[in-house]
Amino acid sequence: MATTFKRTLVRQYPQSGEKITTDTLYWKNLEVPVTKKEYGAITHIDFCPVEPHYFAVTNSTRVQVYSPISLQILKSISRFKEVTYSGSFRNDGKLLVAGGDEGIIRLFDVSGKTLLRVFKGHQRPVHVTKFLMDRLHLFSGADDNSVRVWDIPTEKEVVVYEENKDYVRSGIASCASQDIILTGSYDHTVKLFDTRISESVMTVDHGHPVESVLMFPSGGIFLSAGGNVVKVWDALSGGKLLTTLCHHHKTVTCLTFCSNYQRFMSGGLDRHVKIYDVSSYQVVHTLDYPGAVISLGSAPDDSLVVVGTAEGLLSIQKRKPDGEPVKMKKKPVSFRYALKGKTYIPNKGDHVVEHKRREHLAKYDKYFKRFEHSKALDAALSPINRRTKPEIPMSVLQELIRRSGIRAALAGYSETQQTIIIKFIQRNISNPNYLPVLLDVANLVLDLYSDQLGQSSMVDKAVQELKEAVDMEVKYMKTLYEMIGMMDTLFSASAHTDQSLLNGQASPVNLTPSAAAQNT
Amino acid sequence: MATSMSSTLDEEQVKVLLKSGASLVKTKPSFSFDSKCLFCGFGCLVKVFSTSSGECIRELRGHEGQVTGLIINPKNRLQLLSCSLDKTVIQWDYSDGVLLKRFWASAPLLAIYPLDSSENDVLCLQQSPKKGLSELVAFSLSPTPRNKLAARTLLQHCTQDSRQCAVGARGEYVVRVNDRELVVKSIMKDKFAKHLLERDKKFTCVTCHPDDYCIATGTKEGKIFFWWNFLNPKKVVNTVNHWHALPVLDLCFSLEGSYLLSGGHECVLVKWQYNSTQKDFKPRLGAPINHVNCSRDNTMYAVCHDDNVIHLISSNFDILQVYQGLTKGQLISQVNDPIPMGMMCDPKTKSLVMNGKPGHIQFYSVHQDKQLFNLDIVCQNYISPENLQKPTTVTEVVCADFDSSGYWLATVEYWDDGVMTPEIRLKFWEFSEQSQSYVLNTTVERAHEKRILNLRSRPTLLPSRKDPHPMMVTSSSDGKFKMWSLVDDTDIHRSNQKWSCESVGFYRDLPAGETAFSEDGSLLAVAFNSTITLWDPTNNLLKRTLIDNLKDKPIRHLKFGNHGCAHLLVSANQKGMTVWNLLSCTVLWSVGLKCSVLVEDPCSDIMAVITNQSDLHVFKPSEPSPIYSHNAICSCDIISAVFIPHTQKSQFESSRSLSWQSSSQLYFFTRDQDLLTLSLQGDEADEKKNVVSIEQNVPQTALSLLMAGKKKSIEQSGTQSELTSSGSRRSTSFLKELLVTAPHVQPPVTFLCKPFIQALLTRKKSSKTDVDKDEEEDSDSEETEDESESTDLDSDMEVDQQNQSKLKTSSDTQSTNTVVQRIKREDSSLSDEETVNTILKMNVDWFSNCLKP
Repeated sequence: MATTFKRTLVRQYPQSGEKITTDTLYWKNLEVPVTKKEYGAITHIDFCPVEPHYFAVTNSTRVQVYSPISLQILKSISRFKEVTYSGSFRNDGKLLVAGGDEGIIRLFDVSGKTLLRVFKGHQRPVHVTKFLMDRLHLFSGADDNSVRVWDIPTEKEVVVYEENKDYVRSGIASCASQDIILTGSYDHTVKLFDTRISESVMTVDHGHPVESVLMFPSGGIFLSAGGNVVKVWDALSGGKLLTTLCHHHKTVTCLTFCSNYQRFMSGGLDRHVKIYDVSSYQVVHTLDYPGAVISLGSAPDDSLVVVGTAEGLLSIQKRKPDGEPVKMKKKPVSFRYALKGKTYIPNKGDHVVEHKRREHLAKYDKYFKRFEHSKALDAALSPINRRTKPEIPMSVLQELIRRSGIRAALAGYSETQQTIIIKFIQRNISNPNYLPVLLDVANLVLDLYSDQLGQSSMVDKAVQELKEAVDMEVKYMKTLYEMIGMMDTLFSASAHTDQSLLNGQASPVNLTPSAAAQNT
Repeated sequence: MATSMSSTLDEEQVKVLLKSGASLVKTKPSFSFDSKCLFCGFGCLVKVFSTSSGECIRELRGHEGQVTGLIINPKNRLQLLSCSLDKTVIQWDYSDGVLLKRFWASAPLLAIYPLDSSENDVLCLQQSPKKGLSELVAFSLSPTPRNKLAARTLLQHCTQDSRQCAVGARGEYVVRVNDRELVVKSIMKDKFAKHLLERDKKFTCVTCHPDDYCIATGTKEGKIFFWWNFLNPKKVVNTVNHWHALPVLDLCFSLEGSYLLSGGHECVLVKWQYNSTQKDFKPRLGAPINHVNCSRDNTMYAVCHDDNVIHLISSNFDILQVYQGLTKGQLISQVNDPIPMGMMCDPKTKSLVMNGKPGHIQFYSVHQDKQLFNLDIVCQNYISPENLQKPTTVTEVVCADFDSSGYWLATVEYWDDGVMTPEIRLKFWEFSEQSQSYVLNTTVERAHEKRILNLRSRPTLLPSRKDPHPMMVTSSSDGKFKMWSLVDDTDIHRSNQKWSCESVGFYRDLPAGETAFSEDGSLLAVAFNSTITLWDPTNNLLKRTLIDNLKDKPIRHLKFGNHGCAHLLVSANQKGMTVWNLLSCTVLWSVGLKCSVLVEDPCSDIMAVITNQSDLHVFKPSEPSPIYSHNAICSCDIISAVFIPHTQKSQFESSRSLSWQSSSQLYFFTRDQDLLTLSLQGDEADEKKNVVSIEQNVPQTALSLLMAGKKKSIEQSGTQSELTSSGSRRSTSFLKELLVTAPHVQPPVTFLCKPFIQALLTRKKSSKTDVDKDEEEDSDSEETEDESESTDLDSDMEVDQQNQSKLKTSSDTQSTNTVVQRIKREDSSLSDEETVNTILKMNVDWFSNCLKP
């Protein structure tokens, strides 16, 4: 059967390390971070839910509101005497609340920076202050082990929960209900409160001091972070543990949603931010930061990733604009030519010659098609292929060997070409996938050009380097074999003891008749 | 279908039948005058293919030797002339498949050429008494007593190759080439002319321009010479066209001679414009071209290839049809070892699977005697060698196996030119339901350090279902065998499955050889030289080793018994064959046969062994005495064999000697690339008869129009009967539903009755409309009586009876008895729905009784 030209197959070898998925591409598409050094640890980052998505960064004794476009500080609220915590926006973006070491909760107007309310009642530092969904209440959690719900207009506390036995350091209000709040405490518990009832409605044990909690907008599932694990709980089935995610190796400090609740992030003291898929709870990507991550925020439209570290470093990463390929504007074809020949119906008996669109082939394939082997090799050994895609020259070399055209293709090379091929061999000979082919090619090159050695310093140097590389590789292999030998001894020794144990316990293994044998 | 030999056994005649593998391409194919048919020689047969559909529409039987030449009778364009090695020329009416006349020559004929002269009809190349030579003779195909052909010799010292002789324009001269000489003989002037090439140059083929005084010759070095004024050796003019790098194998002028087609080892069809340097190419045709022919209307070219393929190519180089026989290896490496992967049976299609084109495996349906497809395994271009003495090494498929359901195919390809590092690649293919083909799933580069010798899949007890955990084993001379299994590679971005190496096993640093799985897949046997090791494939633990000290040669064959012999293991090597009982791990029996092929029947517990001397023995592993023996089954080596299950009921069940072939048939493949099978004498007579009519380009006559009209009317009546039957089917669907539905979920009888009666009514009407009318006419007098009965309806009894009979008829749709007729009359009077209702109301109680289970 006649066929079209079959392209040279470029062998893809399995790569160790991260696989390239759509998610990794998405999260790699971030610009170089803008970093800002602040005085103290950045304890909280909160994005305003309404456009233009300002974000409040809480550090030392102030709350700074940044613009997401210019990444500059728009407003700085610094009417705190001591360290402040948890500067959070109301869901309409007009008010901002923050607690602090003073034990006093302050409510500000975002546009004018004016202090509107002061809530006093906590005796110890307040680490959590969040608005409820009804916009008229807020709740706070403090180191005096209490959770309080406050009425904003009257500045009075509505409920006090004193069920926790340790500091309350995290909390979130449910998006689905006006009355539900979720708090996490250092006594390992995550508690769900209904503000209409004076005690908690659900308690789950996280197992570690809870650093951060997060609740899905539907309110059915919530997450808690503490120690080096993130746990997922089902609120609707009475606090059933759905899964435990253990991808950090130090304490997980912060959680946030991103990608329109399709993904969530966790940041930890191990300097990593992990991004998870919400349906499978698999890690899809990891971001690395220079310091221990203690606060984390992602803009609702994913345009920004803001990370604060314990050392006071604020890193803001903007997403690159989607690189839409610039389309060449097609010149409108004149009517006369556009329809010419397209509407023609051939008569019976006409000899129809179809227009065949030419298949696009790689440059080396075009040369292969014309049996120009030397040119095909040159095309494959272009600088970009040599550096970034060594598998292409490798596949072409393999194809040349198969066509028995390798000797002819390599013969008659100039000094620079000789240097190029020798350098290519030297660079890739340590790769075990390429080794068999490259050894053959290296032998051929040496056969062809050994009599010309000493005539060009460039080639001599390349050959010398190749020799060093090969010597190195041989030495390396030798060491590896020694290692294998040692390990084999150990393994066989341990296997022997296993066997003797087995033999001691059970009778010698008997061959059981197969099912078919038994049937007959 | 030729018989190669036969032998007597008991009273039945068992003979070895050539199942497939006859060459389609030994003879130059020929087009019919209207270019609607293509004639090809196929062994002793002439096959007639349709050029529009590609089907074989007729097989012309009559020759007793290889058909060597085919032409259209120059005197009658609707007749075909064929010559053969059996010394005959046969005149055929190919449209009806009738042998018209048979002429006898005095020696085997090698080729036939048309000649447009008055006294003679054809020229034939006739084998001459001198060895390796032949002579060109002229025959007249006029009826003579006993149809003996009177030969008139025109040219002597011709070669036996049909391509090295040609007839010139209008039959005025004939020409032959031999080695380096070109001889032209003018028939009119009775004059010879001789031209010589330089030393060490050789002609390969010759053809003459159909109009002009021009000869084209191809040479061994790939040059094409055009000769003019050739009758005068002094003033001969020639021009050279050189594109081919390898010998030109065939040349052909188009009908008017404006183009010359040439083909050779490059697998490229070249179209040269006459008297110009313009040329066109059709590259990558797959295999060397050995014959080219052009149709009478210049729109099609038939191109024959060494691998038993004929391509029908249009004049603008589109491939129109592919006529494919059993693909035969034509490369030197393939000729030496034609099917390195052996033969196997595809569990899905029950077709024969073996090596096909270089780097392909072919699926050949033995039941339809047709190649299904060639699956490209290596995905590499076939590169023709630089010279024929030094062939290029091609990547070849050396092992393959299907899993028991046929969803997975594993292949091993191997490339080794003896100089460079060999390439070893293991590939796993998944059957795709959408494309109905195999799709590459996993490629493993250098799966083993050395050549992979064996690949087996683990069978399951449920071969019809897709095995969720398929497993394969490969063994290699590097001393290791590896177990491969399917693993799930799904993540949130894609769902994927891949194959990966599960475990590696080795034994005392010996080279691993044959492997075999037990029937239920619970045990794996691997041969290491002369030692058989038994492993548990799930955890790769060595269970037992079996050593036969008497036969310490490397084990070549290893097979587990099937069905009743599942506890037996058969091993064979150069010294003999041994059967092991695995329950006691002892030798059950042993025999000193020098075994070359050992195959098992998947459908029963029998096995077949073929020895070095081509003796066939069929046996059950449980008994040392053979069921059937056949000595010297074939004159040359048998390299592979396979059992293919029957798709239809076989004729061997009643046979005494071949009853072991009742569930599946044994096929074996010789080194000469012939596929043979064992069959009963007289089997070839019941080959299916082709009854496809060939449409002629005959102008319409009054008679033909009349005939066509008659045919149409017959067809119409046929369709009518079909329609009526479909009507009755529709009405019974309701009844069927009624009967199938459980009684406790059925709606009350009052709801059901009306549609039930209606279903019966419509059925009667549709099926009996035309008959009704007739009957109504002759039973008019009765009608009135019946009507009075039915409208009265005073007695419930009577109607009950009628309804009961209705119910009966509903169960059997074929209703022709008298009861039905009665009801039918009833129905025609009750066509009104209201009357139906009245009957129903009265009979509801009866129906409820009737429908109660």
